Amino acid sequence: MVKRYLETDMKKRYLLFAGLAVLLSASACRQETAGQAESAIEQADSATVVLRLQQCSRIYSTEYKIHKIITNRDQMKLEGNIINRKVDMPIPSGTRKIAIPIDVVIKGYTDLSQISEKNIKVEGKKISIILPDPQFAVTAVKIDRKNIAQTAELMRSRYQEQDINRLTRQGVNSLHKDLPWNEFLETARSNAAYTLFPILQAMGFKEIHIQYRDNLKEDSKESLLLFKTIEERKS
Amino acid sequence: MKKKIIFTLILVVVAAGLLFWAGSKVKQALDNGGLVNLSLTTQQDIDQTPIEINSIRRIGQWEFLSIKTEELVDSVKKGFFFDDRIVCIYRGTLSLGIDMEKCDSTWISAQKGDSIALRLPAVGLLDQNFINEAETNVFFEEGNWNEKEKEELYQKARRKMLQRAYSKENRLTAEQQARIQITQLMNSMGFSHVSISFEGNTSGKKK
Repeated sequence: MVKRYLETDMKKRYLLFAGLAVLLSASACRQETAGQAESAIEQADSATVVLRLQQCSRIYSTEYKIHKIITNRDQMKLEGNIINRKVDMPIPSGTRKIAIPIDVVIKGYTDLSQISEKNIKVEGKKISIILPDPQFAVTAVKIDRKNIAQTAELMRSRYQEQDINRLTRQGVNSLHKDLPWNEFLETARSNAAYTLFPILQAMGFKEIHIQYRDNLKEDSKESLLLFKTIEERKS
Repeated sequence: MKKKIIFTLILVVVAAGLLFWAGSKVKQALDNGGLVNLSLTTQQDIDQTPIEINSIRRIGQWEFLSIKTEELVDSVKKGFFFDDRIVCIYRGTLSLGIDMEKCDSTWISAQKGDSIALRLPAVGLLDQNFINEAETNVFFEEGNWNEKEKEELYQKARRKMLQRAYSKENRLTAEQQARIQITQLMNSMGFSHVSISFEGNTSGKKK
């Protein structure tokens, strides 16, 4: 009877010690992760607070608002081979899915800092300008957080912020190959002309010619040729 | 007796052949990464989904100063046993310049000869949304964070960026750059006397 009592008492003690050990190790791990967070902030502090100023002269003439729903179906699988036999087995309850709506703003602009006297020809009330071809910049990417939908089965964790950002980056990169850039270029060109026309008119010019060229930084021979084309077309 | 010897020899040859074949198979399997080579994989790539172009709008914004900035923001949630913590670095580009839609009809007055006067609207922020969330770097994430809390983190980063980059000093730099660039452009068009003024007081103007 006494022996039995001692055994149960020992069992209780073991359980108590085991519980304490688990708690201690958990808090130690937690302290370690808290420490990691502190060091992460310190590292980030030295890496961030960057402010890069760039003086420029760009006329933004067109704004494109784009909406995309990024989806990912993440099925956990057991893959590999056993004695040259290929194995590709989905893990039961190992799927997670997410849909991330994003709004992207792309703007088309004309870099006026590239223009010099070589690209402008003034004859009395007549002006001919050769502009550089419009360029495009992604000015904002916003995740529509209210409408994110995700599910995770038993074996999987939910998507973390890190995963959401990685998928968003992939989604924005995919825009570069899917968007109709030629159409964008045309609208940006005509809108830049629409923006500049009233300015030039207000400056007193009665006859205005605007032409585009790929790269204005190359030699001025091409500009002269374009001016010649404008003249020929006019006559 | 002779038959037995021949039979045994054939058996030995067949056994040796089988052994050699099995050996080569094992070697081949080992060369290909072991007899058993298994790993758990996940699908990291996004699916192909359509793009929707919501709007194409004609705008007239003249940018003179572009400020690329990064902002570190963190948040801590106190828990019963443990705290949850998230640390993110947001990246954005603030464009300072003039919105030509705000110009009135008399903003340019070409005077006699080679003189021109321009009255421009105050230099301001051209875009209220300037953070690129595709470039956000999650430095540390522990615990559960819902979408509302993440949105608050984004707004906190936005406020800090505005505070730092949309400063009086930067607005003045943009204004100076506007004067330089516009004067150069006007000179190229044949105007040698250029007078530029800004509506309101840019240096004292708040967003």
